[in-house]
Amino acid sequence: MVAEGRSLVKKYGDRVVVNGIHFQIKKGECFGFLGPNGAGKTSTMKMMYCLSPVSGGELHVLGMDVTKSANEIKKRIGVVPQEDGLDPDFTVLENLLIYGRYFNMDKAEVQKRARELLRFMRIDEKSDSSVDKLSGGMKRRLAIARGMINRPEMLFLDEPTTGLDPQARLLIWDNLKGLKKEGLSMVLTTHYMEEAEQLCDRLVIMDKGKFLCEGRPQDLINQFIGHEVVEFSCQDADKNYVIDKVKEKYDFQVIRNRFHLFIKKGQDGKQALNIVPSDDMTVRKATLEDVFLKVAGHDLRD
Amino acid sequence: MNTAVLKNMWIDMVNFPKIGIGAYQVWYRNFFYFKKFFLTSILWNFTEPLLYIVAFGYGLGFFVGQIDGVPYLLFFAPAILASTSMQGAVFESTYASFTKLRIQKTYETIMMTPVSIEEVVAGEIVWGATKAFFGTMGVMLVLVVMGLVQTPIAWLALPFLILLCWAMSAISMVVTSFARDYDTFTYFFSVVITPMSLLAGTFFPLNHFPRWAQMTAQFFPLTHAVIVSRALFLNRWENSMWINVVVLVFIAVVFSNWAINQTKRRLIY
Repeated sequence: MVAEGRSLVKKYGDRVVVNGIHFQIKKGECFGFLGPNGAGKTSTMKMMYCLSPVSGGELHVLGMDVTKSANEIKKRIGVVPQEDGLDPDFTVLENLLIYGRYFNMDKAEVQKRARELLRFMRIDEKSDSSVDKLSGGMKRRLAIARGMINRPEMLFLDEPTTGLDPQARLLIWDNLKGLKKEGLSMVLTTHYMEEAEQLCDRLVIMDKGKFLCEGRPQDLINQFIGHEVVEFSCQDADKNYVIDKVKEKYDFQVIRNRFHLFIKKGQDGKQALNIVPSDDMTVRKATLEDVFLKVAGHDLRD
Repeated sequence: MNTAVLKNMWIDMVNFPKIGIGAYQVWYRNFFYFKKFFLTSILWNFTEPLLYIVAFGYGLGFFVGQIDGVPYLLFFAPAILASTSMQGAVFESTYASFTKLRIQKTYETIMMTPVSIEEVVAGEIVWGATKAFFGTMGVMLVLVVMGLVQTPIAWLALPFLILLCWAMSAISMVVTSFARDYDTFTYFFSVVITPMSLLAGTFFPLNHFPRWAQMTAQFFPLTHAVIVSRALFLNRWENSMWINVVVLVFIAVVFSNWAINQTKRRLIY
């Protein structure tokens, strides 16, 4: 086990942002914290990488208590924060060299490691560019390379691909999958369900400081949704009529004017097509997004 | 200001933080950057003191003639040297440090490593002092060329002024730790730094000032630094001046503690 939280609480003044959560993260797995903005994901992460003090409960990382061994933990973990926090006073390579110094790494070793990481993250061509000249995706990759400089046993990624274009995102997923293959334990927060499905072995969906559900992505999909979703739109006037027709047979939710019917294993999605006459019906695979909308609700937040 | 703030202030001033090798790494980060732009950083430090020497030393000095038994330029030189130390430290530990603290989030990034926030701020204070000292050395060379260093004892002003660099860097870091935006520094300069430059006995001997001004001047680190620096330049050292040295050390230590602990309060919650 690389991290364990018991009744973990975080308060800012009177405001409780993490409210007594329990979790265990295993060695070599990628564990995800999912949730809408303000759910408490980042606060939980910050406590794990010892930037923010624990307000209650217990938290161990790499077998050590965060309240007692912050310094020792920080030597052995890597962190990629939400804002990259790159140093604009330095070039790409210098950013890594300077960061390595904070771990008291040997000069020759940090040089070698930095070049190796820049190659691995595919930004070695930009080694001598100023950080300001990098694209968003490259900055992110540099931040990940920086988090890896001290050969951490565990990597924390706070929203690794937020704000990036799809190509940049795919590249980062490739990089992270590569790191995972090498046996690195990873913890990430995201609000992209696809990212969680791609990367996470296990995840929790959290909201208002509590966990709503927990498990493997596929298990969660099976448990909460099923294997397919039938979607169709419906006029306000017809809503009750349609609900009466489907409620016997299917689990469903209505988001605005759109019905989502959850098709369990053994049920046939095509049958649903016969029950409800609608022109714009689609049958698709159930995704984590459906789970998220079901457990976290679909009201708008900022 | 309520009592909680005052209580925090008191606790922060007397609480000695634990500082390790991390402070050196933070100092080195700044030095590494400085090396890249060595000339521009240093030249900037020179121009203002040089202008002062020309404008006041030659301009005003022409009319003043002698003060305290020495030519005005010789009276003024050790003071402008001390003033260079002060200005350098104040600029580095206000604008530059605030940019790293608030805008670039450099401190927060460093805090993800084994380097503690205490070490970050300590490294910043020492760096501010170091950069100010580089500027001071540069002005010292100019003074040598101008023939204003007339006794070897004057060279002792350099190691002594390290104390002023440190004290002013620490005071500035305290201001930075409370600052909301760059405007805060405008107030700091007009309420503290400019009066200090004018009232610290830099341009004129203190004993001609009204009593209230003389009393106020005792609170300024620059006043104590000018007394000692001038004594060394004119070879007029007296043992009673140890008190000025002690005052500077005291200010440097107390304000360093305050800056470190207050920044921690602000960043870790």
